[in-house]
Amino acid sequence: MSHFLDRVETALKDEELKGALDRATERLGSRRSASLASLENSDMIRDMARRAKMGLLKDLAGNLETFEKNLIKNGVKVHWAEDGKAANGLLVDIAKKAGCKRAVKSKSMATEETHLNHDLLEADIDVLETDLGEYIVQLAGTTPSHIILPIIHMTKERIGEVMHNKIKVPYTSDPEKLAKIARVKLREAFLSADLGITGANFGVIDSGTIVLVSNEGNARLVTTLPRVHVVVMGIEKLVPNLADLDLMIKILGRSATGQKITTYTSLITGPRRAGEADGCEEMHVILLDNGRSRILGGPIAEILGCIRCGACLNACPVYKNIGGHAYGDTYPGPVGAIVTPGLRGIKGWKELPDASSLCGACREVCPVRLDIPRMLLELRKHAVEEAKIPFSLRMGLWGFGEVASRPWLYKTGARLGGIFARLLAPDGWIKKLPGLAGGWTRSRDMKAPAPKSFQQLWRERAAARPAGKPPAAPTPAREPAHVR
Amino acid sequence: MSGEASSSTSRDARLTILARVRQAQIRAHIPETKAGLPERLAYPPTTPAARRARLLEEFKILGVEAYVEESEEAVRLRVRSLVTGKTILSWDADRLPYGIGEAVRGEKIYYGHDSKEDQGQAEIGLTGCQNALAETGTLAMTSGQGRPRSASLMPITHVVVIREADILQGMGEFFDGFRKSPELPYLVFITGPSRTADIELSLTLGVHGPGYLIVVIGP
Repeated sequence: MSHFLDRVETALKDEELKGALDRATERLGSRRSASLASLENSDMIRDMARRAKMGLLKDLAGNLETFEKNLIKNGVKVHWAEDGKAANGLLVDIAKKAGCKRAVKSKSMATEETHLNHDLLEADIDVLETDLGEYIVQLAGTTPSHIILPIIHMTKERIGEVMHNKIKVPYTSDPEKLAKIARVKLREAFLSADLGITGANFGVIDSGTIVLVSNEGNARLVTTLPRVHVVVMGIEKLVPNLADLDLMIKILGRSATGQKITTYTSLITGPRRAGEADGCEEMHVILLDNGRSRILGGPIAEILGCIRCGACLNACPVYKNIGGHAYGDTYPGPVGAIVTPGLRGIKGWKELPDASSLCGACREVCPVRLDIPRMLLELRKHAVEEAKIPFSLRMGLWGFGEVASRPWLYKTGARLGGIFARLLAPDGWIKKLPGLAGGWTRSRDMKAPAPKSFQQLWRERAAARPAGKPPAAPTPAREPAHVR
Repeated sequence: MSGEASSSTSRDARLTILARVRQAQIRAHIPETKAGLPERLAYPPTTPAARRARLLEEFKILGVEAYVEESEEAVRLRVRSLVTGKTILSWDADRLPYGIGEAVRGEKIYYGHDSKEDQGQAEIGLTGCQNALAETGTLAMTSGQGRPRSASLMPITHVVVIREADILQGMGEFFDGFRKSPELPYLVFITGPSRTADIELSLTLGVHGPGYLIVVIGP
């Protein structure tokens, strides 16, 4: 795969993407604020939701066993997968055993994470994404770029072209007409599908219930029409009971799109019951670890409380500029910068935690108050510990340590450095530094140090002041640089 | 056989995962959460009139067409006028309130036991509803015998009939009703018509589920 910095550079050059990201994140962000403001006790509800999520992590194993027991009681077959490959393998086996050939899927991040579609097609099982955005992503052969708006990176004209080229419909760029075409095409697929695949927004431990939210209604069709339903869910996606689910539903829609509640919230408690005319006949749940147990044992365990609302993406100044694809994996934005290295290991992903200014906007908007900046710092620390530090950097840090711990040496060094730097900057700006330090001036100029250091000024003031009064703070010799 | 191999793999995976999680949760750094929070959310008491008013307000925001009828006869007339001449996918007659099943007899009607292809022909879905939730403008629907899920899902228009007495304040109150029940039925909360904003954030209704939601509230 391409390098993170290359992906960032590509994204930054894409003016179309920048405009789309600005509009989408602005709109979602302001709707979120308005909708949370209209929720009575919203701060307390967020605190309670956080308590529920953090509380269940303390005995995740016990909670999983209870959840499993209740699923089985409801007639659901439960499977466990250590990694993505195993989950996909289980799903293929379930499909083959039940004689399923055509699958419909509703948006699921867990199966994006396991690259399920690839393995299904390899096993000769047709699979169609049914969320409008995901359907277009699949037709276009790309990947989603936002947790809840998968195709914010595409214009309606590009979407029109994709549908025209791939499913041979007359070209249009009218969103309403495009959605209608998709409705008709996908309805045919729903009626002929024998396998429905979904993720889970929540699993209710107490009642053994799978909870799915969707605005379009595709998750309902996927779980109502095909005779077999398979859920692939991460082992962390639990809530203790229905009262806690109520808290989650109150904050999820508001944080994601600014809706008081998402259009459809389905609670599926087992397959179709006696006397019912529809719903699946056979229901399976695959509980997926894929790195989550490792996350639980480390300093970023808190991220397992994430409810995937996407609010941190819309708030993040870095995401707003580089979009979702630059993050290189299933989960973009601040949450992705933690989840991806967490799930896949820091090796190969160590730039992601750096893709943040640590401004804290993500922590502000997170409905379950995850301390995202703290976790980013933990991962940065971890990346440094893991990495082989070059000899030059190690020597440099050692040298700095030696100098900084001896005040006389530090002072002399600082004075000599100042003189030397001013020699390089006849007009007050250093354009080019020699040697390793050249990296700093490659893309910016550096202000030359002031002729008198702070310490010098401080001493002069102290000497000049009348006895008994503390020195006034020294004013800088020059105006601060580049104030705009 | 691959099926058996897969379940034994899954059994091994279960033990491995649970053991790993158990190990991890011993040393897990789970942050403390705020103290002094209430055990559960409290719901201040409301009046039926206030709940109905709030529900209608939310319906308006959501683009739900709503009718409040004063008598049972008026409900039947309203529903008749909404569905006459259309192909209907309906809950069984004995599952609909106010004798609506009788009132629409004579129309072209499919039921849950008809084939999915036939059901797919229907233009209007006709259902009752267990409860409405005022604070979000939500319809709480359970499914069961004679109450297929498809009727509120497949046709482009969904007509729902509810009793004013079944309007609750919110989801929490609704869930309280299930606290003692041994098992939860299949449930869906419906809030407004099916919608998407996937294409350039422009709002489009009826992308998969009904694009038109019509609610008739009876006495």
